Amino acid sequence: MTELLAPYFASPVYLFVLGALILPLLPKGELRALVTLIVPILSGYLIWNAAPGLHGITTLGGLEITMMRVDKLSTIFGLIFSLAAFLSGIYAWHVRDSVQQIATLLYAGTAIGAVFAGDLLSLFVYWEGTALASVFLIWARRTTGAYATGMRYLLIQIGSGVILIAGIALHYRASGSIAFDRLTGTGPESWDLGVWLIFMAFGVKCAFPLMHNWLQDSYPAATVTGTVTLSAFTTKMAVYCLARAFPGTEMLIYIGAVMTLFPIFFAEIENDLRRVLAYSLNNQLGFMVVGVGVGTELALNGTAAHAFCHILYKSLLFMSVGAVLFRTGTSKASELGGLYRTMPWTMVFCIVGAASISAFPLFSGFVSKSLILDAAAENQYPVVWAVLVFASAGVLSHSGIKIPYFAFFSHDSGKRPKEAPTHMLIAMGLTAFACIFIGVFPSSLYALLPYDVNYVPYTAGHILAQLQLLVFALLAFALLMRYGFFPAETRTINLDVDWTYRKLAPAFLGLVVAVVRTVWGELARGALISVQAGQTALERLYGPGGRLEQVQRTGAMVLWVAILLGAALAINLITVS
Amino acid sequence: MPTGPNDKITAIGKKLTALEKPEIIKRMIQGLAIFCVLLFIGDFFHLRHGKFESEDLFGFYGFFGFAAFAFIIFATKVLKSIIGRKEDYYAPNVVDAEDYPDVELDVKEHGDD
Repeated sequence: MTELLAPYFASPVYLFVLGALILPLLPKGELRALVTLIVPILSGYLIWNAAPGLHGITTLGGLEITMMRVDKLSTIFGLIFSLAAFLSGIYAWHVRDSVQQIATLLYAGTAIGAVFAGDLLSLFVYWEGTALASVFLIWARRTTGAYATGMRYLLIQIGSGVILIAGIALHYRASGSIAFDRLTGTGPESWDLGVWLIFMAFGVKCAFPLMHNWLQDSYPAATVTGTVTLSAFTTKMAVYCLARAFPGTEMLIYIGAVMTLFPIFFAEIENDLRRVLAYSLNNQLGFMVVGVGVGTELALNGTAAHAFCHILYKSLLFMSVGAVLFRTGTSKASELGGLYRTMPWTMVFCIVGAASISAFPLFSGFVSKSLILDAAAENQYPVVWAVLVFASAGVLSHSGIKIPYFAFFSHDSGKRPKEAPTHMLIAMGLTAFACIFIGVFPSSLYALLPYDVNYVPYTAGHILAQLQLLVFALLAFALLMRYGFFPAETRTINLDVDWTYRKLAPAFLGLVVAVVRTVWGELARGALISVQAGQTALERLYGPGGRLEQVQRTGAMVLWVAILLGAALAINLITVS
Repeated sequence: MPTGPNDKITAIGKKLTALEKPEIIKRMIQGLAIFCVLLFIGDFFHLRHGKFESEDLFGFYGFFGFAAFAFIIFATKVLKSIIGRKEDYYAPNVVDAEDYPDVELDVKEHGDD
């Protein structure tokens, strides 16, 4: 029995499952919260000390399953996932809702399981696991809107899993393998349908353009702490899967470039600051996807590094906006402003997150994003490179400036909320420290990257270029603001791709139903009229006073019978002869 | 005595309210402009050895950053007029038109226990 189960203990997933099982047995309170902290620490410890290679190999229905593939690519994602789970655990110390605590554990656990999965079948199981566990972080808000949003989220997430398993089955039939390795072959021309489906499934969770809207729809609908957790795992798991299976796929460069671009504009006009961050998350994923597409060692290092830094600063930004929501009841820019007066620490941590995502020198984004930009430039993609530089200025506009400005400065909203609770400040403080530490000592991060790093981010030319870009953009902001060109925030929402399935498709279906109903109605009416006409005709013939109802004499009847018999006889004679 | 808007705030907050004075804002923008000029001058030293010719143009990143930011702001004004809708557009199946449930929050004012 133990031998049978042993492979499943090779991956740290079991820690999270155990944690989720033990948690409800403990009394409500600090003990339960402690479980959500201890599990990620143990997981991080196991991952840090795991020997490179394949572990936990077993067979299931004749297929080889690998529970734990340890190499530098999976390790860096496993470590940052554990760290993110730990930090969000501190942030959520006050939460007494065991549904959220269990969901968080299982969500983080399945995401970590996915990055260590060595075969596509285990990947699929974890893939669906993240979807099922995470939706409870949205439903935990317990409102009509959150329930509907959760259903939309679940449909798309499970849908991506269905596409994935279909792809795996087709790929297995074509190649006889379920190994989760490079699937690029000799390029997209050589891909079988199965590989295309796997690629699409990854694309849905990675929020590719037109498949992105589940992210902005659902993340702002989760609880204060749930959004922080959600921001870390699903999309970066998808980035990992792309980096593992599709490095160097040129198409990804263009997909990624579009991803960096369009969310900027949506983020800029969005009123809910948590949704602004969700758009910004989409834009950051674009940088990572470009890195996967370029596919060189420098570029893949860039993707891994950027995912690592991004999880930290994005969590930090979601934490700070979450703290504002926790204390004021809203995260809408139109309702906020001037909060620096009473939430100065949250404001400082928010600015650290904003500076990190904007890639100011000495902050984490600077040392990770430049790897991707340089890789794009080195491989001579001038247009893509220009798009990324533009997108970098865009990041400053919506995440660097908009988030801290509208929450903590701007006009005085009159709100005087109490500073965030201590545990939230500790979580934000630790995350902010990590952002600055990586920015100041990039070699600490570079040591974890999949390939050897021979890169110096802090050259005079690079610092000058980045400062010029950001400070001139800041000047543009200051001038636009000063002269009244900067648009005010209003209580509105904006249409996006989700309009097609939330309004257009239902409207179209309604139209189809109306057309079918009308046509059917008319047909039925026509049929009724015909039947009625037939009935009238029959009635006229057979009814009272009808032709066949008239009284005939017996003699006439006998005559008709004789005629009929005669005719029958004649026909018989003719046919026989 | 009526309480002013800044009576009930933290010590750090009180110090920071100075930043809201018009003359300080003006001075901050001036400082930013001077910093921009210095960064511009930095290009005299030819520190950059870009992968593309355009990168080495004088003040390339500065102009790019300024123009990109201004473009984004003006473009979004147009975009918002096209795709902006009222908050309850998708109601009731959306959280935007709802209040965040109080049970999940700990709404407190500064000075509350």
